[in-house]
Amino acid sequence: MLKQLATEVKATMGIYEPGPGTVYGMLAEFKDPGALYTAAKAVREAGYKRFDTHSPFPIHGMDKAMGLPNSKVGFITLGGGIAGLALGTWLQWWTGTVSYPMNISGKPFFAFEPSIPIMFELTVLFAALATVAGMLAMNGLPRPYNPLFYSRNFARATDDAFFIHVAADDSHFDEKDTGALLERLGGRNIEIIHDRGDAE
Amino acid sequence: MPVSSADSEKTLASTADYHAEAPLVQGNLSFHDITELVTAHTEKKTPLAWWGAFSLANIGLLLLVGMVAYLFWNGTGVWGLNNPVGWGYAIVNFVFWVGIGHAGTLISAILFLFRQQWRTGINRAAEAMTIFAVMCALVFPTIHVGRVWAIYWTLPIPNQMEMWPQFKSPLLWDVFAVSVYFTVSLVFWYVGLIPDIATMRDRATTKVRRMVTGVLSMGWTGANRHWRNYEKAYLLLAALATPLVLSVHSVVSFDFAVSIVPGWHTTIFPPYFVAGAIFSGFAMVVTLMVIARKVYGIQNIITIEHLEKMNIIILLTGTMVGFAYITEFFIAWYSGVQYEQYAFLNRAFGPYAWAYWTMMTCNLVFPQFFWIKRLRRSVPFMFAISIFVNIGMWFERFVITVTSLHRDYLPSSWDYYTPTFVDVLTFVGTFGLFFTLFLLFLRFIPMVAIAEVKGVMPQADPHFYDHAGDGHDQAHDVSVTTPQDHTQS
Amino acid sequence: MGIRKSNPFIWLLDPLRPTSASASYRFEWSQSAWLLPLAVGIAGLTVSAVGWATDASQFYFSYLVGWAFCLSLALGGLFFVLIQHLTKARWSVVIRRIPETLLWSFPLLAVLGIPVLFGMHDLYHWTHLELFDPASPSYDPVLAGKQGYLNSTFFIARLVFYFVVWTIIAYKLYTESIRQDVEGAADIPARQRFTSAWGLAVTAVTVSFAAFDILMSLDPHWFSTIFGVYFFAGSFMSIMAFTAFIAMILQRKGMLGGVVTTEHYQDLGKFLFGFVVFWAYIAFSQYMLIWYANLPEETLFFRHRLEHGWEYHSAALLIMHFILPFVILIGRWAKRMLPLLAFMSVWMLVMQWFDLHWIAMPVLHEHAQFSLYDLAAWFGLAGVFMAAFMFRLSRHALVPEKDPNLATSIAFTNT
Repeated sequence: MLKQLATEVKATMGIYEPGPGTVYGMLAEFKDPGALYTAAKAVREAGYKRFDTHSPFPIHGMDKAMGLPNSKVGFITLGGGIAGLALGTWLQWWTGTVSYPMNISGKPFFAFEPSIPIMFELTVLFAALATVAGMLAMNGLPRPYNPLFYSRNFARATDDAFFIHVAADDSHFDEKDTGALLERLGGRNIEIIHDRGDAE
Repeated sequence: MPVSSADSEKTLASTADYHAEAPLVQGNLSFHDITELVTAHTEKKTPLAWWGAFSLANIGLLLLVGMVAYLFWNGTGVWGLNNPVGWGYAIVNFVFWVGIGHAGTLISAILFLFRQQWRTGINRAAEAMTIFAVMCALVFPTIHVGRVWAIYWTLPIPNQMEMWPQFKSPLLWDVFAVSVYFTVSLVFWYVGLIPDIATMRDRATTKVRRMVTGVLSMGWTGANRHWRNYEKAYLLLAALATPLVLSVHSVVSFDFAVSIVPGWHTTIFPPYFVAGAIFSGFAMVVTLMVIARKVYGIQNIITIEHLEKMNIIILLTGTMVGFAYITEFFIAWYSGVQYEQYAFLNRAFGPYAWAYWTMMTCNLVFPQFFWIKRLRRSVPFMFAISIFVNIGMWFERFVITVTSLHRDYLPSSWDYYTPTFVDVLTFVGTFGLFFTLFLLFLRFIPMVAIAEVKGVMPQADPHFYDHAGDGHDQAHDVSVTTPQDHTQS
Repeated sequence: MGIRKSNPFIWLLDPLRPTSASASYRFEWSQSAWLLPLAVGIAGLTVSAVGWATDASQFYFSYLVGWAFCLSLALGGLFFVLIQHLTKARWSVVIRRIPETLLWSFPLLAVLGIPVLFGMHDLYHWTHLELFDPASPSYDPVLAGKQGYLNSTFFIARLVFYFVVWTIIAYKLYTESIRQDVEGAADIPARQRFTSAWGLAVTAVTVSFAAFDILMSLDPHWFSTIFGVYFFAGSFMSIMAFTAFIAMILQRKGMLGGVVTTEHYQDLGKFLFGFVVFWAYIAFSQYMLIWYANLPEETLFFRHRLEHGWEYHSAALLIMHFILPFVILIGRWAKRMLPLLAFMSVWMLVMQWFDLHWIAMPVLHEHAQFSLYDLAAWFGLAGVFMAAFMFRLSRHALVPEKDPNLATSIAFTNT
């Protein structure tokens, strides 16, 4: 039960369990962003869920094509922001009135007017750090080991090549059928990725 | 009657303006060309010219280290500060460098929110400039405290003396604002770098390179599931950095404006400092980019259109700053407060009139040449203007700081401030620090955001490959794969 | 074909003859669109007239607030159009005609401003000549020092100058845009950009000084360099609210279908949110600096507004002009939920009026109060202002039809 949940969560990050044996998934290259977009749409319509596209830059509209919901990073940002605001307010109030009260040019020990700048700065600091931490966590990064790195061709995913990777973990995955589908959609250099577990 | 939907779709397809304006990336480059063009400089053998520049910058850095050591040994008496001018070069330089930094955040965050896609060509270098400029800025308040070993007292760290920093002091707001700004800028910059470091990783030929880029890229594979969160995070960081950048120079302006020193205490300071910061920052970006694009042969990515747009921003912000000078002057008179009136007349016609008129000429007059299209597209001309603006903005801070202080309420304490060689050489030294860092950046880090530039090219849009309603395939208009000549202009 | 000047009587309302006959996006609403606001306007002004007869000072202050409200909308529209042209903005083409139509409000506002001139003696303390006379017991040396600027002749001359300048810029931007509908000349975008370049500089300076003159000098001892920016922030915020609200009304009446989409509303919502925050930033900068320095010549402005009941107005301004709209509008969903955005637009327009009321009214009343005449003058002036706006809108196309970026604008999506 818990293990299944972990698998589900990891799948949203693009981390999949190897399928039968060491088969991790199937990788196909497409010639341009347009072809990748059309293919991703078709793969989703064929019922696949655990697949991903890889491209050197984000492709406009791909979330919709893949059927992915809106990113949830914003909630983490909000949480971070509220924490920062609370800390900034409390810190200035507590040090100024309780722990170390000091009369400065007759101003109140605590007032909102001079406290706003630091309240604001800490809100932004915490919100920004939470955003980045949240983004990395939701993406399952850092992830030094990824079976996709075994593919020589895949190195071009960060240059000028466009890939679809269908995980062996997907309930529809079948070496023959999936391969045929990707080929029909215009996939080239189709290869099976194995999760060998070594570092070459 | 609104046109029917079929009609409007046709109009859409035929006027969708892929070609309406000069393309952001020129010279018909493919995705691969961009990768090559940008990463090549981090992979090739270090050019001799780089070593030359780096040595020069290092001399400057050594100068800074030497001057700071001399200062620490002797104390702040080696500076030209006197009574009443207790704030001299150190504060001027601090505000100058923080201001420089603002253009980077403006380009990376504000222009991003306004969907100004031309920012992609310059944002990486501008953000690097931000981080290095803020580092230079942080030097000055640190060494100005006198007892530098107690600098950590500015941070709210529980201690055995049971003392806390005084949060009502604007100088402490500065500590928070600038350090938060530095941290957030660094994080923002690093997030933008992740996909590009992955590109470097996938091209790495040596083991060390693979290890370093492998760790720093955190296993990035360009997965769309990742891009989705990544783009959202980037948008949120931009939305956070926008008010942050406004707050930073506002807080810097509060250092002056919360006081009751005539010439410092005026309510327009926050937005006026922000405009000035953007103004000076863009001038610095133009100075640096004019050289870098030429030396590194990336004129097709940082095109003349980019430079022209930056010059328009210089014109706009320069005029805003100039208008703020005039408003200040007017309200000083209008206030009916004799000290205010005197402070401003003294600025313009007193012993520091030379500094005031240098500032006015450089900041208000020179940028006006950019009304002329031919001039704002002329590389040598804009280079000269950008230098003048940098000088003018340094003088602005000098005028604000020194002219307001050198006349006290008590005429018996009036004095004239002259910097010593330590003041001047420390300032020169920070340029050494800045250029050392900037040269390291140019050498080891992709100076253009590769993934972002690719993302705004017309062929990055999946619908670019659709057949338009009139049967015209737009993909034919731009060749995607033909190798091209990179040496154009 | 071309555009023709309208006859001199109509000129005040619209300098051009109708061109909508050949338009694709036409105003399709009965005359009640402008008759109804006109009726409200006349009713409001009638009640105000009673106010003038019974309590002239109250009437003038109420009238000034209502007039400044309409003026801030028109100036906000001017800024918006100038900036759209300068940045070659594409997303906003479909909604640009709304602020563009608002531009030609300046001649009418100049006429409606005449009562302010008649009321100068009640409104502006510095018009009392005995203040400048050293022999008089009410001699005020500070104000005497400002006499070179704060005197009736120069004040009226400045107002005339501002209105002439704004009218010229508005005329160029408005008529060129209508001419583009009719003739579609290819050089119009470039000409508009040229006008906008110098127009923005001139508008920024004149608006800043107009804010000093019309509002800041109500409290002639007080001064704040940021005041022009403060007025600008409120104006720009209001025009975003106004544009979103009018577009929604037009769509409800079956116009602009498929042209203005949720995407455009989201962008308008973003600007609205952005300027709510910008206003707060400017307001805070002004308040905090004065609070901190604690100089008597400056704090008196806030002292008036923090006692005798005005403190509730100040608190309401903080909460309802900033905190609540900030929390409500921050989410993406809020900007895309049209009924909510419509509500927030009206809310922010009311807050803009409330802000101006907060600036002007403590000068007249030591104790906080609303007067019936505040509402009467506001509704009266806004009614007439809206009637003229609707009338103008009905005579031309609802979008700049031949703008080269219209199709891009229609197809625009947020990412």
